[in-house]
Amino acid sequence: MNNGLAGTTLRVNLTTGEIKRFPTDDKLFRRWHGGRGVIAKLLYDEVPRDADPLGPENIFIVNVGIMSGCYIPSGSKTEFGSISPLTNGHGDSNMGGHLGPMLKFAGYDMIIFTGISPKPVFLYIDNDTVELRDAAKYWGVGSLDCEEQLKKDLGEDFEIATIGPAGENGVLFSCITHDFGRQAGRTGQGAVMGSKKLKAIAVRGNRSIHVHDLESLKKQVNEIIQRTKIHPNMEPWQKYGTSFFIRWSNDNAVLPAYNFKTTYYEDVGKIDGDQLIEHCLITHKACFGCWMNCGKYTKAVVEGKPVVHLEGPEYETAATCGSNLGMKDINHVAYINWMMDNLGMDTMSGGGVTAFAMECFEKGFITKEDLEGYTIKWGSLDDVEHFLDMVSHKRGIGEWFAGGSKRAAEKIGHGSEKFAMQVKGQEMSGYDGRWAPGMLLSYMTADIGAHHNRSWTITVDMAEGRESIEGRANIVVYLQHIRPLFDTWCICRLFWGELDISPEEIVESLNHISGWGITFDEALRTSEMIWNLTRCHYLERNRDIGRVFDYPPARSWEDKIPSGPGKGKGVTMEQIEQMLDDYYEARGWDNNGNPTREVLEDLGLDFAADNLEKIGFLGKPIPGGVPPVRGEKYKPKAF
Amino acid sequence: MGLSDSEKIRYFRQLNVRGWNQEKLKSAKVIIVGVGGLGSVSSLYLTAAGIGKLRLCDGDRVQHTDLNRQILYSEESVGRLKVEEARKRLASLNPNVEIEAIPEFMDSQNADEMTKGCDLIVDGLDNIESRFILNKQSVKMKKPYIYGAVQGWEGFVGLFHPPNSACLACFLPQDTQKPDEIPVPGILPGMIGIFQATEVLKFIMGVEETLLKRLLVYDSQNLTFDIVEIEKNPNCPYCAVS
Amino acid sequence: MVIYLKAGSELRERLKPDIDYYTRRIKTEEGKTIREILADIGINPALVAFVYTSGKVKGLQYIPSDGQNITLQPPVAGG
Repeated sequence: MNNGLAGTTLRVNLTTGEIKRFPTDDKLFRRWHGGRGVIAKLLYDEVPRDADPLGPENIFIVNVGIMSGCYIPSGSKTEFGSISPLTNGHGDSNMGGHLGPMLKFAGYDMIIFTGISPKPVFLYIDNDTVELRDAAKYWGVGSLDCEEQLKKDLGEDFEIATIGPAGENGVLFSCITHDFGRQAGRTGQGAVMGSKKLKAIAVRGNRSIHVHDLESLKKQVNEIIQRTKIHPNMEPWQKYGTSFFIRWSNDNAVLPAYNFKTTYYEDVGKIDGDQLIEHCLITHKACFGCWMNCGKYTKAVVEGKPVVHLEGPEYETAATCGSNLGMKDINHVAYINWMMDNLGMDTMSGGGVTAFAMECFEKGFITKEDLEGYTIKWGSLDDVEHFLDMVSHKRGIGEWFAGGSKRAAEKIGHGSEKFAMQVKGQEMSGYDGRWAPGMLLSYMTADIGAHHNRSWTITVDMAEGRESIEGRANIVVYLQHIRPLFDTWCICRLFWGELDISPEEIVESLNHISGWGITFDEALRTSEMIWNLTRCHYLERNRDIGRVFDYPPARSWEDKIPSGPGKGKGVTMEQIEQMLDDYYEARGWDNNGNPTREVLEDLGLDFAADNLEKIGFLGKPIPGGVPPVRGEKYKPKAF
Repeated sequence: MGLSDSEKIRYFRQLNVRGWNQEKLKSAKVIIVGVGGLGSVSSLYLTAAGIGKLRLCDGDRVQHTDLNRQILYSEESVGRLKVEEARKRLASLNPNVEIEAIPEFMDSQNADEMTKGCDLIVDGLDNIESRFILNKQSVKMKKPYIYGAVQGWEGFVGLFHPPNSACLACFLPQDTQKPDEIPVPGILPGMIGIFQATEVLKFIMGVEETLLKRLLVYDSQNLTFDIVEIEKNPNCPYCAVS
Repeated sequence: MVIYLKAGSELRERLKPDIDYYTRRIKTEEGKTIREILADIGINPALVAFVYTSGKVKGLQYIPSDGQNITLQPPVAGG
């Protein structure tokens, strides 16, 4: 193939152990662009609507995307996808590192795992050799420890992705870890791997990838490299990685503190980027083809505990497991980061769930008796260590929290769902939306629950007015169409999005690689198509009008920010309802949040409209018709 | 069509009931309009009996005040769509029944579409106006309408199949006074729902003695069952042949 | 002439039975409809949807004969 694809797709039936090879369906990639898009289509087509996400009918997909591994900077991402056990809808998560490119060099664009293995296995790939190997000796071993062992056993040059005991035990927010600290964290992909008894994927390959027009690609990429090397943003990214943003978020009153009670953390100076550099940093780490090296390889030194090594804490973990838990020492935050990484838990949901537990304990809804004689207090590393042990092994009430804060709140009662800071079952990222209504709307409408990576609007909220909801819906829709470009083509948004490389230039690189000759507008339409398909899939699985799933937890509108620069600010229920009305109108969906036939047929998703109609959830026709362009173009500072 | 082995086991205790015809039940399509007190019970028993296809229509969501009588639902159902909760519950009772869940109220605009392809219409409603819509559909489609209604300690059941019989409007005036909150203890729709399910099953299987042309008046306080005849009204606005 | 009105449990209190638990003996004139008789004895006819007698359903415009038993039924609309 001369289009950036390696050429082969693998189907691994874990129940029977059978491995089949197929030529990669390049029409599928052309229409759905790879990565998150192909995952969305395959999940929609192949998983029965009532399949248990942790059962044999769920499929688990590893997808590499057209651009990764292909002579460009930061073409490093791998996408994982399956029905998320957290949200019961389409789920996907990506990670950097080196796995994706290596998979392509071995000759594979996609691996589709089906069924459940009778015993623990890992997938071994070495160019043409593809085997399921026994993983009994690795089962129960921590994610990071397992990668180390596998590298010893197989070879240092293997790229390895693993799950930890949390994924093995079915903690719903388990993640997949790779390269000693990169994660595909969100939507519980690690739990799906664990349910299939798939402990790891190990890949080595050394073939070439062919692209459509190598000369033009090289010329364009060289120019981008020269430009970005000297870009003023490059140095802070290289020095701090995303930990740079901790101070910024705090100063701008969006940093969550104490389970999103407030948005200004008094002790931010104890856990910010400078603390990380000064106390924990060993070296910088980069992903495939990237010299932004935003990764920070660190150690956590805590008295009375072994010294541990990890990558992080990056922004999200410093927020969700730092200020959100009341931690007052960067080493403690790093230690928590390491614990969650080795257990194989998403730090964002892990932090959210732990913060929720801390508030429940503070209010007396859970007690020492429930916690095996321990407490779960703000800022206590020992408490967190014990709590995570209970959760990862689903011991006692640990089982409640292993399902995420939404399910835990259902069990705990006492109105605790008010401060279970999640949407659709997935916990919020490290930004509070009460003084950034576009961000709140992003959380509410993201297809995979409250994840910032589907659209991030804080700078937009600042530019357009933090207390206004004017125009926010349109902007969120537009940004929701931008992000899939990175997730389908499997390139890193930090390099390609933060250094003034225009979307048109990214499309140009894509065209040199794939030969598709598409425009930026077509790329946006593909994003819109993917977005609508996953919405339809969600409604088909969850069987209710879309709107009921799009509300945030009550803290978002009932509790004004109590302290800091954002004191007194907050979003009202009227604004939330209005934002939803505006959003659905902008999307061409009906006021119930259901996609209409008109918009679906415009995107070539007639079959999805038919399926929704059969179950009574097709959107009612909109008087006046749907907008011709959904998501007017907006040029924010960073996209 | 025949019965599978698992169906023969499932329906073992009813296959030898005099006049029973399981295959006829299996090919039947029934719509239940309203899955509240009456609909909960009739749908449960029709599902248990092995009706082929059940279409449920109700735009409501479960509330706490439903749980004294709408026995399909539970605490966890509160806030959720009735037809979806019903579908899950009924499917777990008998996966052989094909259940369609339509989260909408029936009105004069959608009545044709909703009742398309159904052999019988079963009443699960809680107001007079909608019952007249069902009645109109029954007259139009010439399909049987199994009427049921409850209030306090009393309940009515009827089987209307014009032109062979009277219709609802032959005896019920259109302008009857409506109380604000109709008192309904669970036991009343419990009884009436089962009578309705019984009439459905008898009609489908061709059992001759049904409530056709008659009304069952059940008084649970006095413990009386009056079965009275309804004559066609030659001036009926619905079913009188013009 | 005399007729006997009976009521189901939902109308019984309003009927004020006097002969037995359910029945009230009414003296009335020939040729009057049920609707008129109800109005005469102070029962709002809107509270009665239909009646039945000798096993047959009748409307409120029915004219009873001497000695008939008439059962009154209220509008019943719940479900």
